Amino acid sequence: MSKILVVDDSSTMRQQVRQALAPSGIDIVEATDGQDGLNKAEADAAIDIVVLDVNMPRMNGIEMAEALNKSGRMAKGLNVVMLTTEGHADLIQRAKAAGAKGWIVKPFKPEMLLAAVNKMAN
Amino acid sequence: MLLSLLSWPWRMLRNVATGGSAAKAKAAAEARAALEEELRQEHDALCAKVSGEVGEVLSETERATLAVGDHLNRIVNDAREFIGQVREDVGSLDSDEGEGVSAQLERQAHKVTEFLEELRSVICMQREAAARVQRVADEVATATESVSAITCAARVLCLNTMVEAARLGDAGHPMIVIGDNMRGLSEQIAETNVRISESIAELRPTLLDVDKSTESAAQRTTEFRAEFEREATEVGAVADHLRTMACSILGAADTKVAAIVDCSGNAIQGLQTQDIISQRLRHAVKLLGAGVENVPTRVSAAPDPVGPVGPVASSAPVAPVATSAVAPVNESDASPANADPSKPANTSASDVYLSNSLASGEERELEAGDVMMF
Repeated sequence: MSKILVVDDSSTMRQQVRQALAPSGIDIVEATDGQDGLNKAEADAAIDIVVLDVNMPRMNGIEMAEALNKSGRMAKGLNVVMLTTEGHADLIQRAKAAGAKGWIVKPFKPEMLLAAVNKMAN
Repeated sequence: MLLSLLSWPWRMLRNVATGGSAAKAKAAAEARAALEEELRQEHDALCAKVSGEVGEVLSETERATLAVGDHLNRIVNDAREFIGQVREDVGSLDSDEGEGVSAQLERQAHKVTEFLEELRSVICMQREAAARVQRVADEVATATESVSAITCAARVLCLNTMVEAARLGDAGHPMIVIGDNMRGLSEQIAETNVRISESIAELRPTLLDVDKSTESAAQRTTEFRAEFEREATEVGAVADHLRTMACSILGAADTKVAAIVDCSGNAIQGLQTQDIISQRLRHAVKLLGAGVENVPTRVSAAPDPVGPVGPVASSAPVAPVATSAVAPVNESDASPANADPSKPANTSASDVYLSNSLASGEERELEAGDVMMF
């Protein structure tokens, strides 16, 4: 059974993402920062999609994506999409180089996030 | 020596004055340090108080935002559930599998038409049967007339035989007996023939009544069929109207659900903007409480942004974040339809955009609501 890991330090944002992705029928797991997200992604092989914020305490989203790429987790089929207020092209390129599959700028429309996740799931 | 003696008091006074200034300076410095310390403590206390107050407000705002998000989600789910129920109810009027009300009406009308057709055939067959019976009755009547004539002739023949037999005397006696028997048989045949004729005569009015009633039934069936076909046409029109109405209701329901989902999507974006602003405020409160140097900066575009890299006030990434946080407050700007058709720099041709606002064009940063898939 596949799972989606939502990593964001804002509980409101995690709630919004959870509600937006509920129609997908996929189980959703939450993490409060990059370190927590990295631990959960490494520990649970069922997680195959990560929705990842950028600006977080302890470990930011770009660092978490780079760590996942380095550990080989992405090579095992993990898909990462960044969900952030940032929109600068250099950051986007860095995320792309780290293996991320997409970039969504907050605030997002629920159907757009769902479409992006479904695209990755298929 | 006198000069040195005379200058001694002045040297003493000068030494006293110099020593007093140093003490004063030292005292002033100590006072300044104490004052700074006091101000720092007051500042820290004020910052802590402000942080606490703002933190409480932000927490309450967060709780309220979560609740609103919950309610919005419930509204959308209730709307979808309602539309599903409407679809189910309206679907009973007309369905693709032909089980709807309109399809059933048409099937019933078709069955009645088929029944009327069968009834008409049965009536025709009955009329034909009645006509055959009439013909047979006529043939029987003709036959009875022939039999009557034959019995008359037989009776005459018997009388003649008896006359001739009487002329022959005793030799003719057997012929008299035979002739008498034949006369008896002829009379029996004649009586039977009369009964047959009477029966045929009784049958004729009944056959006429049967013919009249079947003709009446045939005419009534024809009239009913014509009337029913008119009503079946009206039923068909009602069925078509029901189908059209069902399609219209379902279409309106789908449009309404789409509008509700879209409106709730905009509201959810508004909530997210509120949350983004709250996060910015928390960050500002951290700046206020912990001191500028100790607050980690936001992620920059540099390859190695681990830890704080300097005063946040000078960190460039804050500016675009503030812009992207402020811009979506105006919902029209957040709509992908209003964004400029352009493509961020340094992207490859293979990048796929889910948002229809992004296409090849001039460089720009992604905006609120934009989605880019690599």
